[in-house]
Amino acid sequence: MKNKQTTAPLHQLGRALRTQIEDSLTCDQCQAFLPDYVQAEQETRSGIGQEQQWVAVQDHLALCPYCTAAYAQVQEWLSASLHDATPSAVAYPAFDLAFLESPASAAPPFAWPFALLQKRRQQGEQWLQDTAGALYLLFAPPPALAGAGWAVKSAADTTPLARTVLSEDDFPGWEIEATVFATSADLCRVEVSLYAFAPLPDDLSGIGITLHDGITERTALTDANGLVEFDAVLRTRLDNLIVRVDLPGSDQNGSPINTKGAQ
Amino acid sequence: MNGHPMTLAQCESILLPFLTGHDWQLLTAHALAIRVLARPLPPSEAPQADVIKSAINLYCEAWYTACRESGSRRTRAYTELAHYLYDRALHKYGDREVAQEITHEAILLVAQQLDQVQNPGAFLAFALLKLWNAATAYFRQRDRQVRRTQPLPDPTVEEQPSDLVDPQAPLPGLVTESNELERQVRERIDALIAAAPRARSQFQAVLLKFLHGYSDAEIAESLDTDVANVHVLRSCGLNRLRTDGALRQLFEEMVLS
Repeated sequence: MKNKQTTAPLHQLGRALRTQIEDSLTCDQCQAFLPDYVQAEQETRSGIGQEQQWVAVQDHLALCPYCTAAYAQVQEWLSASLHDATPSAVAYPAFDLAFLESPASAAPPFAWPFALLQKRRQQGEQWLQDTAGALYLLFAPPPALAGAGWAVKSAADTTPLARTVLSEDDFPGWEIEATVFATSADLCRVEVSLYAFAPLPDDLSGIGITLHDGITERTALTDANGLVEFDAVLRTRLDNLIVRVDLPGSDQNGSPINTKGAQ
Repeated sequence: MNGHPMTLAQCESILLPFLTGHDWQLLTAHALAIRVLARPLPPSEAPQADVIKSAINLYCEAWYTACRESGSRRTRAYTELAHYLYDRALHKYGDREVAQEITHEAILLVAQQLDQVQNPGAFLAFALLKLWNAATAYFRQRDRQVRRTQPLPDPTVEEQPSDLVDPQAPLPGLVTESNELERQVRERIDALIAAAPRARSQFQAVLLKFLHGYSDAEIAESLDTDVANVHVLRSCGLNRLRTDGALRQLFEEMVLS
C-alpha cells in the first residue's frame, strides 16, 4: 500500500511534477470510493495492493492533499472504532432530526450506465439507446473519419480527431453527428449536431446534450439549429468521452439499457 | 457455523457489552452473534477482536438498512449515528458546541447522500467521511469569518468578494507548512505568474490544490469556474511547472534532503 497518511502536500506537489500519471478522478469521485477503499483496507490485514479497481483511487490520493486528509482521518476514526478507543460522552445534546420527516430526496436525474457503455465500446459499437429514449454516443478511433459530412453545419477550421454519425437508417427521424476537433496540443472541442426529419421542425433548440469525459459531466442545450459545442476538453480524455442526447419525449429516469446499440 | 470454534453463547457474551456500551439497539446481541457466526472467520490470535470487527461490519448493514426505512427504526438509526459521530467529533475537536454542530451537519449529509453508499458494510466509513466533510467545511467557514472580521474595513475600499480566494489578489499565505522550501516554491511560482499573467488561473489551480489543500469543488468556487475546468487548468498548470528548471531543482533538493 502506498504511504499516503504521512505525505505532506508539498511532497505531493513534487510527485505531481515528477510523474506523468494522469489523475482520472475528481475529489467527489474519489470520495465516493473512499469508504469502500478504507473498509477494504481494514478487512485486508496486509493492506490493499495494486488491484485494478483501486488504482485510480490510489493515484488520486497520491496527488490530492484534500482527499489524503479525508482518507487519513477516516482511517484513524475507523481504526479507533475497531479498538473501541474513543470514549463515549456522558450526555448527548438533543439532535434535531426533523429532517427525517421531510420526503426522501429526489433521485439523481439519471445514472450513467458506464459498465455497459464500456462493454459496447470494447465491442466497437458507437451508440446505444436506453429504454427511456436517451441516446449514448461513443467515439470511434481516427480511422472511422472517412467522409467529411461533419463540416456541413460547423464552421470549424480545426482538425477532427474522432466522429460518430447516426443516420436516419440507424435512428429513424434523426441524423445525429458528434465530432471532436483538436483546438490545441492539449485541448479539443466536441460538437454535436442534430437533424430532425419528418415532421421537420423549425426550431431544434432546448434539447439536452451531456458530455461525460470519464471524470466530470457538462450539460448544454441545443441552439435553434440543433447544435451544441463543448470547449476545453482535455485531449487525454478522448478515449473516455460519452455524449448523452435526451431527445424530445425521452424519460430522464429511464433504465435499464435496451441493447439497441449498433455500429 | 462453518466450523467456527466459538459458540453462540461465547459470541453473545462478547457482543452484549459491546452493544450496550455503544447503546446500539438495532440488533440484539443474540441476532448479531448468529450473523457473526454465519460468516467464515479465519483462525486468529485475537478472536475477540475479529468478532467485534465482523460485528461492526454487520451492524453497519443493519444501520444502513434502518436509515432507509421509515418510522421509529429510522429515527433510532439516526440517533445512534448522531451519538457515534458526536463522540468522535468531541474527542477530536474538544468542544461540545463545535462537535454538536459538525455532527448535525454530518447526519444531514448522510441523509442527503445515502443513495451514494455502494457497500452497506462500509456505512460507518461513509458516515465518518461525512463527519470529516462537515468538520472541514465548518472550520473553513469559521476561518473565513475570522479573516473577514479581523481587520477593520477600509471605507475607501469596495466590499471584498466572498470567494474563498480572490484570483486577482496576491497569492494568499500558505496554510499547511511554513518552511523555507514552501516559501521558495511560492516565490518561484509568483515569478512565473508575473512572467505569464494569463496563466495565473492555471498556477492558482495548482497552488490551491497542493499548498492550500482545497478540493476540486472549492477550487472551482474560488476561481469562479466549474470542476471540469479546474481539471483542465491544473493539468495545464502542472505542465508549465514541469518545464521550469528552477522549480524542478527545488524539488530535487527536497527529495535529496
